Amino acid sequence: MSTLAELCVIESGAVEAHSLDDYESEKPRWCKGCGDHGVLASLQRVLRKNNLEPENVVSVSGIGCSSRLPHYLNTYGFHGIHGRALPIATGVRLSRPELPVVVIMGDGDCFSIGGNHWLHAIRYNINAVVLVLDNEVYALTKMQVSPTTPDGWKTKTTPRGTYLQPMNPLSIVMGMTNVSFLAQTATWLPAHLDETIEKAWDHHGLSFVRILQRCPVFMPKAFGDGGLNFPVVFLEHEDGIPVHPLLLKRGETQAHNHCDINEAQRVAVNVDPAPMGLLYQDPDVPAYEEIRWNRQDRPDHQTFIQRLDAALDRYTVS
Amino acid sequence: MKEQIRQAVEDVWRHHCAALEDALAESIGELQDLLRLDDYKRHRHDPDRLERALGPLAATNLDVGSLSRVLGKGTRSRAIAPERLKRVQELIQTLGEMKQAWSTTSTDFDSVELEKEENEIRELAEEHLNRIARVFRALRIAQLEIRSKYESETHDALFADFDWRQLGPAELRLCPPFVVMARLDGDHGAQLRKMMSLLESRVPMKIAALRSSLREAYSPASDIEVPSTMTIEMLPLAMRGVYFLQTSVADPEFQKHLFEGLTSPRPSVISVLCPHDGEEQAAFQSRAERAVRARAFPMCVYDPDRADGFVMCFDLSSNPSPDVLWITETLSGCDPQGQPVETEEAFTFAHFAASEAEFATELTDPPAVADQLIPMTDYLGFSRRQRVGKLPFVTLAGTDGSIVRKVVSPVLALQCSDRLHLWRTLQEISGIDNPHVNTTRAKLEQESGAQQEALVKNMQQEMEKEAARREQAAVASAMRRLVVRLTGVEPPP
Amino acid sequence: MSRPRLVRLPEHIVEIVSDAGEGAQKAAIAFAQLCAKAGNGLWTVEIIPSEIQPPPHTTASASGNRIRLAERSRVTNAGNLANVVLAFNEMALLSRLEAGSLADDVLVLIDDQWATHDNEQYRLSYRDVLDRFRSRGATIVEIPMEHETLRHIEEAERGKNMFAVGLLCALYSKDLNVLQGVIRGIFETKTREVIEAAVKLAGAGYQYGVTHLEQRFEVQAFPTDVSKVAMNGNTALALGAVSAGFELCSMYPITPATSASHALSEIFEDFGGFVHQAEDEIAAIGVAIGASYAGKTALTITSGPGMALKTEFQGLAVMTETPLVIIDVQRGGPSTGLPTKIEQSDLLHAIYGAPGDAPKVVMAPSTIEECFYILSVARKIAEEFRMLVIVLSDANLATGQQVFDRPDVSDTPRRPPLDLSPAPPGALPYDWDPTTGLSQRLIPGQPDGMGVTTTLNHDRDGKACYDAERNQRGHTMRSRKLAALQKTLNAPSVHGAPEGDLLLVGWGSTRGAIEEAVDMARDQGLSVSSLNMQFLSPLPPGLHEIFAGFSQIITVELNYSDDWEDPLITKDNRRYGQLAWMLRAATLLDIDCYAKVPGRPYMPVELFDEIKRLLGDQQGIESPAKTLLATGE
Repeated sequence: MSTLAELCVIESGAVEAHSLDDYESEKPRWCKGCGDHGVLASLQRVLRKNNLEPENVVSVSGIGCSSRLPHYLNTYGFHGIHGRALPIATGVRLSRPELPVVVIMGDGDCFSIGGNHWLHAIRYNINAVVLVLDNEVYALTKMQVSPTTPDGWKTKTTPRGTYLQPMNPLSIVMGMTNVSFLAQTATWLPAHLDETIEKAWDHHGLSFVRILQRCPVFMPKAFGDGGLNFPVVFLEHEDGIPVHPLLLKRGETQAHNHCDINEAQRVAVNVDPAPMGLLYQDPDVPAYEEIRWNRQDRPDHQTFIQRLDAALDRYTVS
Repeated sequence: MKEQIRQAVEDVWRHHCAALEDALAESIGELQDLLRLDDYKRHRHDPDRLERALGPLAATNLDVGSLSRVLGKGTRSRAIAPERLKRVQELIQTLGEMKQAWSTTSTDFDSVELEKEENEIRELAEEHLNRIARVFRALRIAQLEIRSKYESETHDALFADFDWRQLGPAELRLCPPFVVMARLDGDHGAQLRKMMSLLESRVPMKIAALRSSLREAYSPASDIEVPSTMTIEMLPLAMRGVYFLQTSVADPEFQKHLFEGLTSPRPSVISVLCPHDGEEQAAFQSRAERAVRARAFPMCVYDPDRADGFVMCFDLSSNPSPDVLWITETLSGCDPQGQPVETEEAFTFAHFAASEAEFATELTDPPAVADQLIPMTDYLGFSRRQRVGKLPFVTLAGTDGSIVRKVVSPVLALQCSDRLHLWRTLQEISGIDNPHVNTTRAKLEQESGAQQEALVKNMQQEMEKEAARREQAAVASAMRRLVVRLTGVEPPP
Repeated sequence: MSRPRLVRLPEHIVEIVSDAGEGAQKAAIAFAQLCAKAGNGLWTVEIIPSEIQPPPHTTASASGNRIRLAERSRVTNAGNLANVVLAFNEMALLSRLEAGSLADDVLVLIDDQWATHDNEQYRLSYRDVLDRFRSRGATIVEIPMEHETLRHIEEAERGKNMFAVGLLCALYSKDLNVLQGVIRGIFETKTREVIEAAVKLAGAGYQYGVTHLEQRFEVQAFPTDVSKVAMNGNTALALGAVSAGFELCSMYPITPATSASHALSEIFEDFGGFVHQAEDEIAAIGVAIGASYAGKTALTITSGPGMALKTEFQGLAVMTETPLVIIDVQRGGPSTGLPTKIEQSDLLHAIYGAPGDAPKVVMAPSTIEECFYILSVARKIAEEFRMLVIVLSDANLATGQQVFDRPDVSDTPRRPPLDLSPAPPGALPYDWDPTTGLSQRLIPGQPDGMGVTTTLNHDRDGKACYDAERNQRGHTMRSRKLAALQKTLNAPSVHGAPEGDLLLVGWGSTRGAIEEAVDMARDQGLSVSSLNMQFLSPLPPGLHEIFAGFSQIITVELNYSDDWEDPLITKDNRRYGQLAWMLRAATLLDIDCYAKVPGRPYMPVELFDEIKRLLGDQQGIESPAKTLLATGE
């Protein structure tokens, strides 16, 4: 849309003020104490703050507890198949680049079965907010090990303890070409969660956010009893994610330049204490859908027919 | 004089007309798509449409009539209601006519003179703005229609009374400017007052205040105290919602600043220095630069929308060395006696006036007796008593390499003092030189200095105490040894 | 030399083979275009080496083309045994014999450099292979191609193929000027030297032929006013996709489908579309579904192994009723199988592949011309019915060339704009019409239409539900759409007579060979007809009535069936060809099949032999279908 037309939309009252209710759909059916509730609320607040029309937002998810989110958010939601949210989101972005997209996945959905799509989505840098709700277990299917399950934890498929060190998704994201945004937060730090999701929403490019989350049913002791005893360090920068004074009870701050990819990679590799906040941001990485749209010509119908005729000419023999 | 800003005004007009045309074209396209979609929805299941969409292969395999029936069944018609259809078609027509009108609008510089009656100017401004408001009105209605949000009950009334006052600042920014030309040479108090009167109406007009002479006319005064005349640079203080720009060709971003001034949604005053009749471009460029350097024509931008505080909105950065009072130059050459002379001279208004024809009579040769001569900069700082009988002079470099002194007349000294006070005020209100800030800075330095001192002093005292204690302990221990030696008895510890 | 003998023929089949990389394909393209321009009907088949980097001068390295040219303008298949073969070496020649592709009395034109080559092995094999051919009745003409080519350029391999095509031009009494024009066209992106060298060599080959060949052929051509095009099936699909108004094609490279994406990639951006190569097959279909969901129906192209990977997403498309078109260019299976060879064995997978009950539309083009037009049908059905439509092509259609009428695109309808109007009050995402199962979808951007599209079972409101009744209803409605489509289909038309002793039923590119065999048989008085099925899901109506007119019905398809003669095979365990299996189930008739996996198209003559064999045994038996209908079942 040209600037003038956009202006007229806003001025003419075609954009209504939306309340939080406008973004609520069904009553969430997550367990009591599940961090997913917080993420949902956070998302709804971001949508309201930006006053987006519910019909113009698309939320895409895979399969898992967290992937139920689109059912509870009043947008156009796509609850897809396990591990495949990112290709669907890419399809939406490629065909309707004017619609903002938020992708919600769990740790198994994104890092395990969806791993290939995850890696490539970072490189595509589609303009979307990608939230991984990492509770370090497969909760919907009742407790199987996930790539991020901590060392030695007992699950139904590893009843005598896990075999491998958990994967560090942060360093993987930092290692992929075209990475443009990486942040980590936790559901037991609601103010931080809000700010992080807002920052992710404002970023132009693939905003990858890992949200640590404790499953109260299957992993009640995870993350040091849900964050009480979980060492974190808050990354601080003028343009980063603000650290409220109350958060300092949980951990210290550390000055961090999120524009420096080397510094971000160094921070990403360290897991203890867990770095919270904006690890990396580069607003200038082009988004795949823009690159494709800019190379495309969109001719009017007459030109379309002419060109089709010209294409057939190449194969004409008489 | 108009020529100075002609280019900028025409550029802005051209840009805005193009933008309006584009927006109209876009809205027309979107409305036409709406109709096309409606037609598609109504007829896409007609057998002939289906046949066309399916192509030749379908004919053998499918019975198009049957398909038409199957698809048509149960499809709720989501076609556009007839009243809305009619509205859309009329809207397309209106927009098309407007687009035509705007594409043939001349972008030639057309302006109104300040001399006209105030009422007349206001009426013309209203007319101009309402002409554009009609376009925005149509665009808004179009966008509502396109989003199916147009409701006759509410919107018909709303748009019946639509005039430029309903436009938002972003829209006003895109209105081609309504320019009022004012000439401020000579005594321009009345013009300033008229300008302020017009600006009070809050109509977003652009008043171009042009002048080629920098000589002010003051009523006679006995002293060089700050005269009580209104200067144009003080306008933002009085009218904080008005965009003010003072600039000339000496500004490397001249055209850019003009463009910004002309596209502000606020009522604006654009003060521009113009060449004299017949003045050559090169000579004028040089004169404009000198005027800026002497603070005779300081360049400033006051953009009320730039920030929250006044100080942040007022920008003096286009001036050379805005943080100092005067720019100093090194003059070197020979004095009338032939002796080589090198001196640092502050470039004041009087120095500027030395090269201006209209001030030729205000600078005279100094008398033979030199003891009453005081440099201009000092003179301006003297108290009334100190100034009695003194003659202010300026040192100038002649084209032949000579360094001469000229005495400044009281009239010129008056304007010099006035300009000095103006420049100081501008510095303050733009946050460059603020006594409050200075005091705080000094206090902080002092405090931190004092703190340092106290710390050092404390440490010293501690050390002394420690030293004293050790000394005492040493003495006591020595005494004990002596006692033992002398008496053979250990004293109690 | 005496005046060469001129033989007029209604049609001829010529194969051009060389080592991979020697240019036989280009020579064939040039020759095909020459014939097409002259007005001949044409059908070509690529001869593709089975390995990527085969060792030279072996049968595995043979690369080239088979060209069937005819007087009549419509040629529907690759024909029977080749009448002429031009080979650059004896191993390439031998490979064609081993492929069973050459007539016994074939005319062989072969490069004679191997007769006197330094390498003794080559000399020996050259002599042995040619002896073998002679003993079968072939006529050998040795041509000094290498020698002659070196007279004009320094590196023989850069021009021998042009010499060869010039020679063929002479052999078939075609116009050298036209050939040279064609060559200029083919080489237009090359330098002037290259173009002129190619043209000169063609002239040299022509001269040699004119001077030395004892026999010349003429397959007359009758040019018409109708403009004609020649292209392969993958190109036709690509152009068809553009014409059908697609805006996105999402794919992953896989033989033999990829060249369709290549053709599309070259032009799509000029038409407001683009080709997205995804990171894997699953992502490819995911992106297409995301785009379709957002309102712009998209396309994905793959082959058998890709179809397998895409299965879960296919189920998603059906469950969420997202319109989608998948093109499956079938190849030899199972698993990696024969990547470059034709087979028709994805039929059952296409129809029944997804877990659970996932009704989808499956269509098959039978000619390259149909490849162009089929996507418009597929897309319209996909969008209007909110269904997944699978188009089954194959390796033969993909790489062969056919001459057909140039499509008239002037009336191509304009893409309608996206419907972003507010959803009417009470609109539901799956607003099933109880009779047809059809519903109108809501796309992102439509106010008041928000809701979640879920792959869990759902009711009309789109919300997940788990009870028996609504599960049943969901299934019913999705299945109903297939029935609704079926109601609009015409019964397929019978080629031949509506009644007879034998009916051959086929689908896809076997059609041409089947119909030619039927024509041959009918000419000999045999009572046989054939039927081609364009829609495989839903099955078209009228099959019972048609089948009732025939005593015996068999399917002819390029997929596997057990041979009755095989040990251990009885009617309890015999595995049938895929279409036969389906039709038996659908009609309860004892439909048999001629289903093999030779990795090449059927020749009309082998089908003719089968017809004769069947009719020789089965005369005058009443049709099982007739009996069934009579008893009112």
